[in-house]
Amino acid sequence: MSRPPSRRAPRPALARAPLYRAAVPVIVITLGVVTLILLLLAGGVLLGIVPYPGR
Amino acid sequence: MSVTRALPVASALVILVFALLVFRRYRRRGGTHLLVWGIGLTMFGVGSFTEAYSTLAWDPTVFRLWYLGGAILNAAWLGQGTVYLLSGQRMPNLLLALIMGYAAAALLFIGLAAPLDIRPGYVAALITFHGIIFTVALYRRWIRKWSPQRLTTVLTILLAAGSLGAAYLTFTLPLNAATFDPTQTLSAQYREILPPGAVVRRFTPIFNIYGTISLVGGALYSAWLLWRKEIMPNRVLGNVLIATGALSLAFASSLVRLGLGDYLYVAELAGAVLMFAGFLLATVRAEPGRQAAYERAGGQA
Repeated sequence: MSRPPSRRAPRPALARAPLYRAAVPVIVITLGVVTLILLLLAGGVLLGIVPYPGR
Repeated sequence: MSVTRALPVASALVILVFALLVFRRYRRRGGTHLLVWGIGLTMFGVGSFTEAYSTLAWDPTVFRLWYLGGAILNAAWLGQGTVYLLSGQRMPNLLLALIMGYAAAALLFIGLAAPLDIRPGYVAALITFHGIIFTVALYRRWIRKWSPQRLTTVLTILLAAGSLGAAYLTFTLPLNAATFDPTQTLSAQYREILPPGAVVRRFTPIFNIYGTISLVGGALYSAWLLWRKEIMPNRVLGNVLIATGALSLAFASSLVRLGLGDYLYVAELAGAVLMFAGFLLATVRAEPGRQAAYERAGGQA
């Protein structure tokens, strides 16, 4: 018995492009790290550990 | 027209078109996340319009609207739209438990710091440690067991109550209009206009931290999910642009706190344009098969 043909749609060409495959995780991780640093700074400001003018 | 006046006008126009498109999409397709995003964008637009108006004349109501819509609420409501979109999925729910766990720990220990005379370093250590305990407890006891609708409703009620409280505090503040200078940006001088030690200023970072985590985190999570499944690259790139734009807004408010309020308008315009471009890219009409795969993956926009 043969398996029925897969109904899965073919992958878009861009999703298989090497540059896309390599660049997206780098950008996502970088943005995630920047967000984390910003949030830690904001937490520090909230607690008064990181000073800023006017507080 | 000076740059100080032109930049917020440009941001406001971009946001106006963006908000209209989001509301139109909501009217055609439904989806509470679009409605909540529209509300957040309207607040963002109010912030930009009032900024532009303040370069012409002083008006206390306009200042209060700028502070409420532009500085306190917009990021949180935009982020709430993403919470609606991604609720019910394991990773966003864990992230939500993390936010609520750390918020509860922060409220408890910041509240106890003054009466018990605890030093800031110890408060940070106590929050870091107890935040994990509260997160695990919240996730296992409630968030994991609740239906997505119940969870988002509770969060929206909390956000709406917090927004009403912030609005009340903002509109009952006595303002120091004598220090207002129309040649300077509002963000460069609002500290002198607000009374020293105003309670509402303590609310601002809480709303913005929630908004940044949910909006940026949600967009990055969606991009990651779709990239891993190798589907809808336009939505992957759209979500990356949305995350970058939202991060630009977060940077803008950090610049204000560091006393560099003049750069706020540039960062705001960049944020508005990037998020709008991301939304347009992410909502390019997809083929039916791919659309269904996307809906199953729970992607953003």
